[in-house]
Amino acid sequence: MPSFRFRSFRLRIVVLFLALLVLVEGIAFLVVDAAHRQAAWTQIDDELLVASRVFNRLISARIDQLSGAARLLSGDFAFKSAYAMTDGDTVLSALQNQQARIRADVMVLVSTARRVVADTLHPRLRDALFPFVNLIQEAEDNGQAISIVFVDRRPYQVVVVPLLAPLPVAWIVMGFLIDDTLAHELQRLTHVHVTFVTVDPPGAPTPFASTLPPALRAPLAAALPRSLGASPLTFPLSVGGRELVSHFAGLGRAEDVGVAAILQSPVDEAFAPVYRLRIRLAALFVSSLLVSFVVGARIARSVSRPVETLVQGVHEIERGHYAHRVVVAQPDELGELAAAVNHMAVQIAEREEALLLSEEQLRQAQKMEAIGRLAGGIAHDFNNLLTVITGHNELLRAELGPEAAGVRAHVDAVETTVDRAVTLVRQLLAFSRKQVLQPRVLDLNEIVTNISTMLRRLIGEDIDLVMAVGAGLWPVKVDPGQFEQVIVNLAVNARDAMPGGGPVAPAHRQRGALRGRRAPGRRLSRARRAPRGDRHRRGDERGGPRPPLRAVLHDQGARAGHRARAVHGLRDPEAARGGHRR
Amino acid sequence: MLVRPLLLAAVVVTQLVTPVAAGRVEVRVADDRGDPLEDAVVFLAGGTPPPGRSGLRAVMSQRDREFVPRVLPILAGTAVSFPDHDDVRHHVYSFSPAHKFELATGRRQPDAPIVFDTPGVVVLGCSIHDWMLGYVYVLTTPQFTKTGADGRARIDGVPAGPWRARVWHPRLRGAESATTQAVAVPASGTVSAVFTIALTREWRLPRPFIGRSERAP
Ligand SMILES: [Cu+2]
Repeated sequence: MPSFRFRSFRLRIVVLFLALLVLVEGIAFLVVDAAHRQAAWTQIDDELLVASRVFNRLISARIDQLSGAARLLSGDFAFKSAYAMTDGDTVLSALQNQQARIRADVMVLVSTARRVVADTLHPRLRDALFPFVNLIQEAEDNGQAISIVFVDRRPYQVVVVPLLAPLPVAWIVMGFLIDDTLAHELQRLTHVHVTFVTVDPPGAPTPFASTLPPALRAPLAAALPRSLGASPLTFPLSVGGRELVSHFAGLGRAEDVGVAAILQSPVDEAFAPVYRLRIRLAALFVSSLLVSFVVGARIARSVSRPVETLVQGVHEIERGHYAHRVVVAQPDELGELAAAVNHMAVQIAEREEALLLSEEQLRQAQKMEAIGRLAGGIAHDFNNLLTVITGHNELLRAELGPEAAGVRAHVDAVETTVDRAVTLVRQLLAFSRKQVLQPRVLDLNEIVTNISTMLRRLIGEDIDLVMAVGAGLWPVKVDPGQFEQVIVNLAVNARDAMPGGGPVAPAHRQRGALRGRRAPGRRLSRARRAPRGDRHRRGDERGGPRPPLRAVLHDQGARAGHRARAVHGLRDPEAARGGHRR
Repeated sequence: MLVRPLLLAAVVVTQLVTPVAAGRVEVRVADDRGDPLEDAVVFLAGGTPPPGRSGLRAVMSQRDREFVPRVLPILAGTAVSFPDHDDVRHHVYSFSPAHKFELATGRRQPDAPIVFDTPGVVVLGCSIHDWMLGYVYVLTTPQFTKTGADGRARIDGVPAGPWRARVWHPRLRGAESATTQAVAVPASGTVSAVFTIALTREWRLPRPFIGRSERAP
């Protein structure tokens, strides 16, 4: 299917076009996507880093706030005097009052002897040994202590400051609970998930407060690396099917248990804009691909359409429709190609016509040859008969006495008539090329004169034969029979050309000079190629066949088929030479 | 001017005690880094308080928003007055078990002197100025003194015989009794003792920069 092939040609262009586009767009997509992903990761990291800084600042601000409040209390004269002058109940209510004022979660007053004076978490507890003596010791050494403690299994961030009067007379322990509320509060400010874990080196980190939904806490505990502090501070974590980039922020130690905060940023949230962008990019690419397809198809059609037309035209020519013309009105190579195809079609048509013509001529020639042979056969037999007639006529003449003068006249007439018949037969034989060509040096005038009788008979009564004998002609070497045939042919042609009658005047004269004297061997072929204007030249000493004459005959034959029929034997030197072929 | 009340106290003591044979105890107190320690109270334990101490007087001033002297060693029963030399009022208090008291803010007239009977440390504060910190050290023995800026002090007119010398300092780490040194006081002449004591951190709050240079001493 030629049309399919061309459609596929067009398709090839479009596909190539699109493949290139897909390649470029694909690379662009990958590069841009990778950059976006990288940016998203960087963003997560940055976000976590900032969040961890904010977190640490918030925690320390909270501790500062706590210790500031504690210091304020430590300088509160009323509180000092309440402690110095009154009982534990009064101190407890003063602590509760203060705790409510600064929104702390626990307040404990510890004596310099490490005894609990009052404890807001355990109001009834009095004079018991304060459990976190190290904290008091640290506060004694450093002026204050900051730590995380577990009270009733709940973690508190606490500060310890002295109650100064103006020397330390007791220790104020003040703390806030580390719980989900705190985590959520921190999340509001840091925009990341906050989870507090205990880091117990032999065991797994255990979350105790988090902004994560409760369902995710157990998976988180399972997913957390065992050695949390040793791993890189930022690490990805898959928790319950969610990818969380996690950041480890150490908080401190509660006695022998480490407490840390895990800050987590969900990857999907950070990647949401990346995915949105990815979809937009993909949409852009697809639409540009569609546009490119349409544009590419149009371009391909503009290229393939003239090619299709050309190929169609070539196929028409192939089928023999030489009249078909390829119409590609383009001033480019394709247009030139179309013109060339059209020209080729014209030439093929001409050649084919010429070929047909020559085939026709060949057939005619063959027919003529057959007729010639038949005529030759008949002439041969007829010649035998004439010989018999001549013989008998001679016998008759011999038997005639002198008295039979009347009869003798008849015998003479028979003899004359038979002679003429013999001449005719000879001519027939020559015509049928039974004779072997025997070129001789002749006088053309003589030959023409000899056959004038036969010519008259051939051309009939309506045509006047005017014999115009040329003077001063050079002798010509030619087979007389053949030459006679030429003359006969010309005369017959002339007769055929003049159905209404008229004069026929065979004339012959000497014209011009022969060219190509330096290449005598190729004279004939040269003459053939340049049939017009060949002439004899005085001083041309060579004999042999006269190309100009043959060329003229040939030329005539080539131009007019019906004449060529008569001179066919002359046109083919091989056929002429092989007169005795059969 | 820092020396004046001290001299006053010394004069009082020497007037009361009139020994027949008396020697001198010279001490040098340094901290654990070897630096001379000021305001260390050095006393000879086991001395007999003189009878009839009703006339004993001492002064703990408030000057330029500080207690002057910073450390005031007294014999139990001494009446200490707290004159205010500043143009602002102070609110002097003590929550020390040895003597709890409070001198209300806004007093115009000098208060009656406070008599300290119970031996021990009385830490003085001012509720107006948190950094103000003073100590009244109440002793039962009349043989005591206080080191100067060079960390040196001396006790004159000590009856000859074996004595136990001790040191107290506001930042003394550990028990006071641990500083005890035996000194043999000659009938006449001097016996020397060197004390090196470890110190606790200083709890004195930093003084704000403002309001200090108005009344230069
Ligand atoms: Cu004051």
